[in-house]
Amino acid sequence: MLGAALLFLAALHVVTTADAENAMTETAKMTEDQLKLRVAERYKAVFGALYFQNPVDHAYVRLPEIPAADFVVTGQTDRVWSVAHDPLVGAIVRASVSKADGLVQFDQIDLAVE
Amino acid sequence: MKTDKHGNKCDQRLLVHIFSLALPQFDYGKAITFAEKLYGSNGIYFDIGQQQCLALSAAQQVKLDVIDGACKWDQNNAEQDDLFNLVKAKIYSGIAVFIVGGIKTSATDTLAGCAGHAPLKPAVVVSATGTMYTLAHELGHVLLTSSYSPVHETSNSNIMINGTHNIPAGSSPTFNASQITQIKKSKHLLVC
Repeated sequence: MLGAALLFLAALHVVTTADAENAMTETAKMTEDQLKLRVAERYKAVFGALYFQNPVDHAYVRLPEIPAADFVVTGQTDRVWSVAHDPLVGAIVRASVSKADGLVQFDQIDLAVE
Repeated sequence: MKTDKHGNKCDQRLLVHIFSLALPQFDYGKAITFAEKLYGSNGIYFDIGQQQCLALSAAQQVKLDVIDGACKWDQNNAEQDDLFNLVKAKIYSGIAVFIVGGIKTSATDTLAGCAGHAPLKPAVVVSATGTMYTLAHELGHVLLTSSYSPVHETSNSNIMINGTHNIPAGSSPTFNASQITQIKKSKHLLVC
């Protein structure tokens, strides 16, 4: 019984590792357009319904939607891609996309008013 | 070699023409002195060609008190064009600065300043509700151009911070070395 359980766990471990490797391969192969779309979708999902206080008139304004095409891939390391939306005015967004699993981490969200 | 009134030597000259359509709520004198010192300390003589309060018709006053429209790189909105057309005969070179009652990109989005401008119409718009640092910040955008990244900094010791309202009163934010290198390449800077 114990032997069967260990065999099952060993098999499970192999599958999990393989899945992770596949995911990493898939994520690492993402095109620039796919990366930008992923960040735009996550931005909309996480911040789309949030309001931000405008520092000039102190009114609460909804964070604007940002089309995927407006994001720019600004660099990469071994582990992440850096993606940003850095306009003259409007929502500033800086994000990192993990090459391992595609998770998006938002490093900065702000509102440029000048 | 020419020096400014703060004792800074002049390597290049930034010629600005300031046109007021509204009474600034920030300290205008401090804004000018700060800009002189900021650019001057980097060898850029802050040269004010003209300072004028623009006389407008009643209709123009209503229309241009608050500048409405998008603020984007390398383009003017219709009201920015109207502003520039008011003064274009008075400007042969340099950058126009307009101080206006307010700036709105939509019914809800209010700005402190806008540096977006059509390529052949170098100008910035500064809201009367901006800060004493907004003028120097907007001119920084024009000199850095759309090709420079990051557009905004996060440190409140840098004049290009997103939102000069975050700069502590009485402090003297600066440009970093990378920004200065880019600024000194600007086509808007003249010889001394």
